[in-house]
Amino acid sequence: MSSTVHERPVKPAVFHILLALASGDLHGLGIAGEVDEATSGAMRLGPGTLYRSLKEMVEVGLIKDVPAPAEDDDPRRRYYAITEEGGAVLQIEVARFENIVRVAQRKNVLPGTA
Amino acid sequence: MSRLPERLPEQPGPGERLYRALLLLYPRRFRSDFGPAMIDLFHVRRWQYLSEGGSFVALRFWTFVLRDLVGTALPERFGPLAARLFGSGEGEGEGAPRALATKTRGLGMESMWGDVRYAIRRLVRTPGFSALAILIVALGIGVNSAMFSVLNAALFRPLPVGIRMALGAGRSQVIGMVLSEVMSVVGVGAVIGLGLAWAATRGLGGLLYGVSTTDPVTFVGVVVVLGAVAFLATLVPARRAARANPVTALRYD
Repeated sequence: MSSTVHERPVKPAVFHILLALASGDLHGLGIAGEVDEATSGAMRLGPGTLYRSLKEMVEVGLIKDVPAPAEDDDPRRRYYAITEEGGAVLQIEVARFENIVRVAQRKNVLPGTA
Repeated sequence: MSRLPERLPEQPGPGERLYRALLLLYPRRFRSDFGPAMIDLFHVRRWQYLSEGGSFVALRFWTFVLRDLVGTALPERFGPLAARLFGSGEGEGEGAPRALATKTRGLGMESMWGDVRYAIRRLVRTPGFSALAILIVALGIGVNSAMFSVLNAALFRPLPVGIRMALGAGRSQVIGMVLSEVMSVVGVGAVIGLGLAWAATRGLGGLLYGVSTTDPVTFVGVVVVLGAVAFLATLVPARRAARANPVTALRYD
């Protein structure tokens, strides 16, 4: 499945969830907060978008369910962790953006650079 | 770690009740897996919108919620089916949503949504076809409600024959009277319907498969079948009504 997954850019929601999980395992609400923060509130994942993305990402193996850390006392919370596959996809995506930024810099589209 | 409040005060107002009801759009499995967590996030989002304020904040919030809901509940529930229904596949050029949908299955959580958008685009581009489609759906709904009101009238309410029977009309007279009344209504309806159908044939040409638009067998067949249904639907309750005690029937008139 890997090659087909990587053919197209992943959905913005999927990308941001992967990015949020890159720094550690989180539960759904935590991911939402992390994405809010990373995008300064520009990307606000709705409940359906967030949890449906999580479900499908678990199904295709980009992320996985993990047991909650000991300090979390809310048994309802499900924690997610990024998988190797997910990390690879994230890297490809970030590299894609990096490439775009480099081209933009060369063309002086990016403010504050020359 | 984030600027989301960890726990929000419980406030099961009408908003949450509405959202809980809307969650029924998702398949049961999805709901039981994620429902409570989704309601939590719903509260967080609502709190965010409200604290930012601004004009029409409720409207903007619910637009956000409904878009999120429709965009995920429908593909979650109808994903594969919708792809089959909306994916044209017939080499439609730029759209080709089905090929994309298969390639990105799994991550393409919005593939069905894309199909819907594609369908809407096509509808907007061909207003004549859209009008016809809407008309057909409306007629379908109308036919359904008509059928059920006829059913209701025929099966659950005694026919208004008591007064005639009390005045001395015989069984066969009553049945004949009811039948002729109903059948004349059916006849008028059939004539109007045939006229409309004939008028619609111009637009229908491209949509039908294996039937010419003015196929006489179809026209006659439809009239005969519907007439027979109406006849039976009238005869049965009419016979029953004619058998009833006039005094009982009178009470319902």
